Amino acid sequence: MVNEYLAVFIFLVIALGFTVAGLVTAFLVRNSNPNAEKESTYECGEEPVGGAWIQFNMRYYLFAILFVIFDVEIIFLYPWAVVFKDLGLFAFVEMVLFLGILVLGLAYCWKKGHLRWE
Amino acid sequence: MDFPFFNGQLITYGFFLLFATVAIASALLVVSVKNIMHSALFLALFLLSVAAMFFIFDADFLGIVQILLYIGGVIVLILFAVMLTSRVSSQLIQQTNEQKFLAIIVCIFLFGMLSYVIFTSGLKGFERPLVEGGITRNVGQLLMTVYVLPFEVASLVLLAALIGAMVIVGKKDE
Repeated sequence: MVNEYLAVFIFLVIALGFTVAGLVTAFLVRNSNPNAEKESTYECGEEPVGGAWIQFNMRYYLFAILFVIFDVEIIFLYPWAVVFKDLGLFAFVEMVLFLGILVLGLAYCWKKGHLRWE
Repeated sequence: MDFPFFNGQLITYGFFLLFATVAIASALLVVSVKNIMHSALFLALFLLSVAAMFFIFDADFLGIVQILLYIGGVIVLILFAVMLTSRVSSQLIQQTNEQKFLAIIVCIFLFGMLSYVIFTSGLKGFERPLVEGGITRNVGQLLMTVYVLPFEVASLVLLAALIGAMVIVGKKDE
């Protein structure tokens, strides 16, 4: 089993090495001459307004919850996708039913106007 | 051929030790760094190393669940919860660890209890699960045949969660 995921591990090592090597090289090569303007937050060339750590709009939380619920649904889709070919039409109908029930919930949210951004 | 230091089990042990070390180090950082945002990110690293351990022990479906649900879902919710609190803008959210000693005592007791359960349960480490074609395939097979009803009921539970969340969070749109 180790062999199957060895490639993933090698990718992990390369990705980490690439990041660290890039940062270290930049640290060694650059010259350091900071001033107040350079150290201010970059905001598309404009003067930055306020801090970056602001309180987010509560409405974002609603979408985060929606995301988590459909994330759980994907957990069920994943083993289904593995055996779907062997089981044929029966599994397909089951999944349509499963997704249909959840689409009902999404339709409810849509109808109630929870998805609208005002 | 049966060289004890070059068989797969030792490599598995090595990987396990690596990810266990990362897990413990990041778990300690979660409770010790001052910035609560960094805590949340270290929690993601901790969960990722637990997922890696699941993969090492052939529990690939659990590993996928760990990555998708815990790192994808729970961390998103935690980050949102941090960003939504009003005190974040005034930078007042700092980890203080006021109940340090009580927490250490509770952790020691929990550790003792879990060790007792694990060592008396007769679980054998490093035993390959007896399934052919991988765990995910078996889970899918069972979910689609034997456990059809729980599977469909799960979608109803999700529907209830969806509508419940909308009713609680999106109140003002009535």
